[in-house]
Amino acid sequence: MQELSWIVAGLFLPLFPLGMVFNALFQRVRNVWLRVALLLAWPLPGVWILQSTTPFIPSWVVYWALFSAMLYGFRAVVVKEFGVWIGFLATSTWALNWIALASGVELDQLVLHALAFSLPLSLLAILVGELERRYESAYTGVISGLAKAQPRLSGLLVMTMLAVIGSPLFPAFFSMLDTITHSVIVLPVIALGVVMLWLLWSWSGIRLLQDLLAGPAVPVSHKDISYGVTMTYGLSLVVLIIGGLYLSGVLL
Amino acid sequence: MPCASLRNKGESCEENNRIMQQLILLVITLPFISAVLTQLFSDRLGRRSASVSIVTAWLTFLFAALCLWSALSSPEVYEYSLFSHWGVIRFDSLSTLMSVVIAAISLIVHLYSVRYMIEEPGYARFFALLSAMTGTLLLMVAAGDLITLLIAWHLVGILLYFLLCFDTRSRPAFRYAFWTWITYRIGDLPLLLAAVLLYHAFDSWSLSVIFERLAAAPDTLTIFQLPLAEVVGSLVAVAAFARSAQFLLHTWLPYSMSGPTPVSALMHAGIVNAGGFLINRFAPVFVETSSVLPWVFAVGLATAVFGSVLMLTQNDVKKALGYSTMGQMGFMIMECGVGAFSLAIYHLIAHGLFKGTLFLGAGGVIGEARKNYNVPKDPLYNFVVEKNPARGRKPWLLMAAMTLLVPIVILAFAHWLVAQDFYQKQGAIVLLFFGWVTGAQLIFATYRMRTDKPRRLISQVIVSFAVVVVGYILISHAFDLFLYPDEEFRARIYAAATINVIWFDALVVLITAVIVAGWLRTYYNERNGQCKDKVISPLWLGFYTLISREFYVNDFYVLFTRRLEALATRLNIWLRWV
Repeated sequence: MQELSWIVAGLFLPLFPLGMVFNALFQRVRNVWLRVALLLAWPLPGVWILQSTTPFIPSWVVYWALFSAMLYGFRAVVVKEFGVWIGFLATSTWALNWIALASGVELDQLVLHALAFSLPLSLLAILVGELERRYESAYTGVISGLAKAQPRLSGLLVMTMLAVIGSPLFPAFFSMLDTITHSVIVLPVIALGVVMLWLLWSWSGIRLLQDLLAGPAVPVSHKDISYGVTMTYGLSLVVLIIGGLYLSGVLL
Repeated sequence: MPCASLRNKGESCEENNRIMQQLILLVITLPFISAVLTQLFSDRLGRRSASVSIVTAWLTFLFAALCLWSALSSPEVYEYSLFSHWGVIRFDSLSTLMSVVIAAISLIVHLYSVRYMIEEPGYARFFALLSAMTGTLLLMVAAGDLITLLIAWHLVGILLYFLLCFDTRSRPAFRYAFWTWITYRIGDLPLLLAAVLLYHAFDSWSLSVIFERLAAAPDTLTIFQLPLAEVVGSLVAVAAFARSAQFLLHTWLPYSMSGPTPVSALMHAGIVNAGGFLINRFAPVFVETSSVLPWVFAVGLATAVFGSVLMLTQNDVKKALGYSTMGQMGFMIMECGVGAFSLAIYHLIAHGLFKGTLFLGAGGVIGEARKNYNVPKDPLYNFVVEKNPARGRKPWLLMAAMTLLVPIVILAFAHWLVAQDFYQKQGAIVLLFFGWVTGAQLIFATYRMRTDKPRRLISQVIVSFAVVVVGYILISHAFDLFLYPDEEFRARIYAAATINVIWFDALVVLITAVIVAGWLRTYYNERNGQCKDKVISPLWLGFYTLISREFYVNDFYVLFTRRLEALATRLNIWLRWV
């Protein structure tokens, strides 16, 4: 029974190769709101299972989780399609929950760690929906010069991407800081791996972003998002920052 | 009566504390407010939105100057906490001094940009980013806890990325901004590890608490039973290396010129100096180390040498300036490595001012050169550009003796003015040595210069050198007293940088012998007209290839990155992109 619950947890807090299930599903779903629901809901069963069984996590599972997270983080470096990238990042970030738990993060805080990444990823998925509505694709190979063509959408994408890759004041930053703080003494090698993983996310995120933003605009004119919608999304980012500050108080 | 006096004194101190807290908060928050307002009102105000940024830059500078004035009159440390665990703003001599420098450079860059950027699209965005960068830098130098420091340290990299790729149409700007970004991120990570190790050891994020507890227990051990101070010192040093473009982490600096000129000025005058600041901030950690500072010195030395060699061989002026900054940063880190921490702060300020002037003046020089192609020829032009040495020779033995002796006499005198026992400190000897090499090189260059009045020229050079050296040493001594008023602490920093005496003496003798032999040979060749080699040897050609490819460091990184990307692509294909 214990083994079965671990396998189910490994599906929802994805360990390789179980993470392929989520990515295959996420890529098939084209509706933005379904994607958001998936991003918000997927890790929760895994967290609940871990909370209810309060398992002792063997060290090989921790190394496996780090391998899974690094594999998806590394693979995300060359991804040019936003949907695929969001799936890979989600897989990479959720796997860290195993490490957090093994390092001594409290069980009731695990859900905060999961949401710290799911929330900005969901916002990114919504913005990618805006992009797809305009260009019928979110593939950076066919869209370029977005900063020139759609400055408001670009600005929001930039800020959300920063939130996803764990930039300061956003919840993911404090979640990462907490995971590293807990693991550095208990599992120093793992902590080093988590630090490298953070670097991989930055590399892949900025690489993807600059392919989209840089250069002359593609010669198709699309209307940028309105001022009001920009303010709404902007407000969501402010809420994320407030959430980050709250998280810093709870976790650190 | 004494009680009343004490109470009055206490109240006045509290009042002073409160005013200082408000001033510091204003210094840090004003630029952020300006950034938000400039961006928010950009549609309504158009290009006039820059004036919001300019006014706040002025106010920030004035308040920062007030803080410094207050720090000069009372060298107390104040702290103000925004949140329960972090968000501590520290008011001490280092933070106030650095705040004034940052606010001054930022103000100049702001004023310069008003006209320089006027035709650029995204004018308001530029000023918003500039103000945000100023605020972040101010937050970084005033951070009183590790989390605030980490946040500011990280944000500087992010904002610099967006300033460097301000021209969104330019793909090279994005490419080289990415190099900067990734190097900065690499530098963030050791600082992060250092922070969490300190937190674990002392159960606090506050710098004051950590430094106090470390002083009480300097032999604290950390992971793998390693000495905490050594591990944290090494990690902080690596973070400083990435930020200050030390060798192997330098490639972003010479290529980051694709950004607007004011950004280059701000970067070279301010941001890149953060490494020197960081080492100074963690001085209480470095005094507890024994093996970190010598290798900090070695890295600084390597950077100074490689940076200078690459600067001399560039045919692109902007890249030459970039490598010049790299060489200067190497020198700054080297100063930290010999224990002259406050000298590094003085160096970064002096370098910031002259490099900022060079960048901001570059546009005017180029404009002038476009109007007038005929550069007036004078002895200096002949010497520097056409490299024509003097026809008439001065007595070489006399000149050789002057080259070697005059700088050392001036330097020894200047050091003696501020500390009679300077020769007992290895760090002071090393600095003396480099001062001597620089001075000797200056006189050597004069020897080769064509002039009608050689005696006058040489005496002018010697007087200038003496003024510079005495001024430099006196000012750096004043910095020493301001930043590290505790004499025992200063001595401990020098002690932490000390290496085995036999090794030290052997190295000094060896390097002196090599340099003196090189000078004597050059003098001798000059005198006998053998300065031009007729045949280029394969060794020389190989060396030329090496430096023309910038020691293949960039090539290696590009190749390595491509291999990694190819591997990631291969993995994705195998795993069907899921």
